[in-house]
Amino acid sequence: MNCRERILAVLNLEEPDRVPCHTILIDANNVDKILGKPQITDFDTFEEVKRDNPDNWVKEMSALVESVETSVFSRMVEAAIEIGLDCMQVGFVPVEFIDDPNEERNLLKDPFGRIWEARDNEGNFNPYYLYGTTNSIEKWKEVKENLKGPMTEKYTKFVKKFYRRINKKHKDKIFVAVTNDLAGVFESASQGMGMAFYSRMLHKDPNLIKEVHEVIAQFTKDCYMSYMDAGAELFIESGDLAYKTGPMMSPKKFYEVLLPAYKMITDAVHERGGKIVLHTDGRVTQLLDFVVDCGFDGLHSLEPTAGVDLAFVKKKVGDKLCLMGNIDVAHILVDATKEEVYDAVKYAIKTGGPGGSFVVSAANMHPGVNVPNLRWMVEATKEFGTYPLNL
Amino acid sequence: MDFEKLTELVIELEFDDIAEAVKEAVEVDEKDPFDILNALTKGMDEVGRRYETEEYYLTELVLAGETMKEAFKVLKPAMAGTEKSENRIKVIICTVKGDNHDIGKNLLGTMLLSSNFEVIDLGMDVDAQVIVDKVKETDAKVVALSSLLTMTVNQITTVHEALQTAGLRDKVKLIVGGAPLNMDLAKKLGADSFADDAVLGVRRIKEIIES
Repeated sequence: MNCRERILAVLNLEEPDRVPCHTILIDANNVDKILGKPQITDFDTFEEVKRDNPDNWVKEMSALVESVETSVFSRMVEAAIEIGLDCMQVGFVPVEFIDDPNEERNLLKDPFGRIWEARDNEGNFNPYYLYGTTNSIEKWKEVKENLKGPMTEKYTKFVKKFYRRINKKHKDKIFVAVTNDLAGVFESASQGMGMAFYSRMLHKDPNLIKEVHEVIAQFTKDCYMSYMDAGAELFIESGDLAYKTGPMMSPKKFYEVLLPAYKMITDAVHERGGKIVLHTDGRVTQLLDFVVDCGFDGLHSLEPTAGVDLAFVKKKVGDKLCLMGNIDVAHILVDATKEEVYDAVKYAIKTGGPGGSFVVSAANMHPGVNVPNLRWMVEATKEFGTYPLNL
Repeated sequence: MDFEKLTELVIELEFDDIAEAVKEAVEVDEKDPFDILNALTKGMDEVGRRYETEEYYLTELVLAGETMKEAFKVLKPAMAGTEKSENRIKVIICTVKGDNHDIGKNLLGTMLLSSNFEVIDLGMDVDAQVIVDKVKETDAKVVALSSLLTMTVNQITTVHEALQTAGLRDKVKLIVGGAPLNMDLAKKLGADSFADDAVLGVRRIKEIIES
């Protein structure tokens, strides 16, 4: 089997030749460690543009964001190939620079009303969420009009070029999935409005929150359809519906205000023969039925440090969802020994692997993940993941 | 305005009505602001209980915090300058350097206020030296740090060591919270205690003060 066939087999809940291996991303500092540092970093370019064009640098930088993101994701896929992953995901992050003379930080804004800081990750841009600005009904109306009109037009055009370029270059060596990491429906809504305003409206006017999710889902769906026009077959919807000790809101409310939005996306992807997985950190155990009912083909993260018991999840929904993740990024992929990494991968394969429909994957990703540990995760998957399993 | 009604408004997360109700209790009924606080605290205790039994989730905790914030806008001026207010235990809360998450920190702050602590909120992305200076200035008994990022948990050690260097570590308790942490790791990093969430955080702070 090649990487694509292996991944699609597990998403069809079948047994492949071997358990596949995936990560949601590789941070740019680690990409540099794997591929070697480029001579000119993102921040070098940024400083140069600012210096050479002090009056118009925002426009110029925002125009450059598209090519910078294409190059960043393309290098990330190259790094994934180099360490031997079967699948890597790419996805445009819709941000633009802001010029605020009173602000020392390099700020970005997105179409959902979020303000980000472009942090310097060893010369690379690392977008970091600061706060939301869609904190009134009037502001939501503006965001809605912008999303439905100019933003949809802009990004549906762009993502086609973005995916086509990256996939064309790498598709023979790895399966390139699409994600809306940092721009998922739930996180864009709750962070764009800020958690306080989001919670207030959820209590006072749940129909407004339902509408917010549906408008963002429509934007997401339109972008996903453009990605599919360019050949994409697998999507990883970024969720973050839970935190360390449980879901952000009651499962009942998730059904009420979020399920229709997710169904809009999953139905559209399935209609065209694609697959779609939900990524969410945290203790998701109470949300397993919700994930199935939303129509997702898989669930990613299964974070052991948030108390997610892979054996329980496999037993409960292993015949309905492809399970992905379970390798911890607090210790195992940061400062654990090779033996500990191998043990974690062996446990994951032994527990999640029987019958297929399982992908070894880092539960999340951050710049502190150690490249040798990532390599050990891939090596161990290849060593212990061949079917029939013998563990 | 009776106390049961105030308690009920907190439990039912009535953030739009609480300020008016507290105002009535203070100005019309001339109730002791600390008795009002007790009524609100009862409400928060019930919110905490509902959270622990999964009747309430994070969004309800956030709303309870919003409700208390509205109540304190009226109650705080009424409490100011009283003897009971002066004697409250001071707790410094903040998110560590490099981290800009504040949901957990804000919840803890509101819950501590409702448990009659004096809360000094230094905000997010706070340098260790700023914390040390504030401990010196306020004589706070507890520092509560939030770190949601794996990348920033080592800041806990930085704060612990900075307090040691300033000769303050024995005078102040250090409690931490955040997704990448657990009790073992927290202690390894130099903290005295750890809590998974704001509800447990208040309980742990009371425990470490008593110990």
